[in-house]
Amino acid sequence: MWNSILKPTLVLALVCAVVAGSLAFVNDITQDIISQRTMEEQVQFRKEVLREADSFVEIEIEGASDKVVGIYEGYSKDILAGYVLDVVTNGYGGAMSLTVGVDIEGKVTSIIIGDNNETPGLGLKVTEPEFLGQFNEATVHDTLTIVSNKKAANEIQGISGATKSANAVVDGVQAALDTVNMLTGGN
Amino acid sequence: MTDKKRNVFKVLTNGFMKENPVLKLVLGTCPSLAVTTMAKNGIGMGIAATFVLLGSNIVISLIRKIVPDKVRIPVFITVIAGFTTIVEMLLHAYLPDIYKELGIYIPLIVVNCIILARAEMFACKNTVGMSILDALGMGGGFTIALLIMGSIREILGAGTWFGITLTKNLFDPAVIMVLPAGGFLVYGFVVAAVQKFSTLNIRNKEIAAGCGMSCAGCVANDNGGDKA
Amino acid sequence: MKELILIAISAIFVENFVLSKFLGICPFLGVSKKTSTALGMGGAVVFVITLSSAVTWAANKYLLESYGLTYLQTIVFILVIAALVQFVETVLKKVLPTLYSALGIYLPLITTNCAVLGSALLIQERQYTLLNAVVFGFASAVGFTLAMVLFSGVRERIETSEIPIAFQGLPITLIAAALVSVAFVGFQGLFGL
Repeated sequence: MWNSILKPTLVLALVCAVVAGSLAFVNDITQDIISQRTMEEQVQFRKEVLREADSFVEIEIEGASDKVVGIYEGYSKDILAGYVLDVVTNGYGGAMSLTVGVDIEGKVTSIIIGDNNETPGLGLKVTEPEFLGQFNEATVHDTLTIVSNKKAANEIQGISGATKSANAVVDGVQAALDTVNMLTGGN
Repeated sequence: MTDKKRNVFKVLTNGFMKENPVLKLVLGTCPSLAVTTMAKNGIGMGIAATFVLLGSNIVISLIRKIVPDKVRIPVFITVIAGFTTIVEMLLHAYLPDIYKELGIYIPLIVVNCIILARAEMFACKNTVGMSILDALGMGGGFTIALLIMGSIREILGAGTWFGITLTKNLFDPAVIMVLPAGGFLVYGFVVAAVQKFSTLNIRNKEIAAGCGMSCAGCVANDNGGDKA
Repeated sequence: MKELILIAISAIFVENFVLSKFLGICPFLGVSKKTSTALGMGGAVVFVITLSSAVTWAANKYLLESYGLTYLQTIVFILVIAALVQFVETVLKKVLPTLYSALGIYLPLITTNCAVLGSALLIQERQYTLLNAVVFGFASAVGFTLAMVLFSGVRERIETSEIPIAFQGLPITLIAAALVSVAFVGFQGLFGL
């Protein structure tokens, strides 16, 4: 009885308990560092996409696209300078996080692509300035489309071999623009 | 003393060439293919797996005498999963870049056959000291194999090495090398090269032929043992 | 419904476990020598992944998330999978002995098949609903089986070919896998939206 059932059960339970205990301990130490780092990174991203602003206030609005996971008003010396939106969109390798800055005139200021699983050499090209820079002329009134030869501000030149990744960015930015448009009532 | 020294040396170097887990024993193939798009990721995965291997080898060689045979495998898996989670949390906290690049392949270290295989074949039969050497040797061999594959794929596929541009004016990088297909291709050629230059050519071939099963096979045997 | 079909098709073709995500390479190389064994292994994997998708989804939602223990995810999942495999084996033996005799020998190999743990982790990462999770798990396993069966056909041809000594065994198998993988790259643009 002892050797066939009790002892194995006891040993296994003991090992599980010790392992779970040590994980709880390590988790305790690392959790704070992780959340602090994530926060710092997000603050950094906000500052980078909307350079004019020096402070940010999180706001919530109803009816925004479910791709938009966070909306911030950016203030420059207490004057509203624009908006920063955290967007999660669906790339080739799964979820892709975007931070989109929109200035007070409704123009895209800058875009940063955060966490993503795009393929290096193909999908990952969407993170390069050559691609992201194309959005800088777009405004909240635009409907973005992917074209093979960019002519207008709302046209984005796609990347061959990375259709899905490029689409993901366009979708995400569009969701951000629509949200700002709704927020400002089209002005 | 010299005998012992030689033995120590043998255990330590075994994993690098003669029984290289990736290139000779064909264990841990999934991460070897998945994360080697860049040399940096290859090293990251290698070190993470080495850490888990080291931890699990130490613990298992310490508790090997009190663990009943019946629950051997569940205990081993629990210990390995514990160390894997610790590595995951540490990477997340201190090396977030590597953490993001390796993604779900970090928790998947649990099912990396190298680790369970070494627990079964070595740590549960040897002392702590020897198990540490074995872990370092095998982990080192794993890391070097991943570094080789990561370097080849990064240089040919992206024209860079550890992020440094190398081939700017030489040739256009062949993107296929960083795609999944390139993983299989490079792995195939590296193993072929090892077979070519190996003096133990015929024996290796036998290992290579039976090896695909070995990772799954060792567990099958274990389960058989459980029931017996 | 459209979403489910999209998940299924993209799990089978676009993000094929073996050929684009590198999950389950060991069995892919190990048991793909003959089409019949490939089918047997595939059947067992489909069975286990579909079940484990649902079980790990529930474990994650009702145990780990509600008690704030998500850091125990890996350990809980692997133990759940190991227990599940054991359970499936016992039940099949009693209830459906014919199916057991077909799949039985492959079942113990599945615990360390990273496709099973991989699909469980991917499901949580993507925050699928239960239905989506089951469909994803099932389709991924079907994709795994498809890749193995296709590849077993290729391997049966390799067996009879003349190959340079250095490439015999594993290398030629991997290079053949590379070519099959290239074929699957063609599916990449399938959902250009």
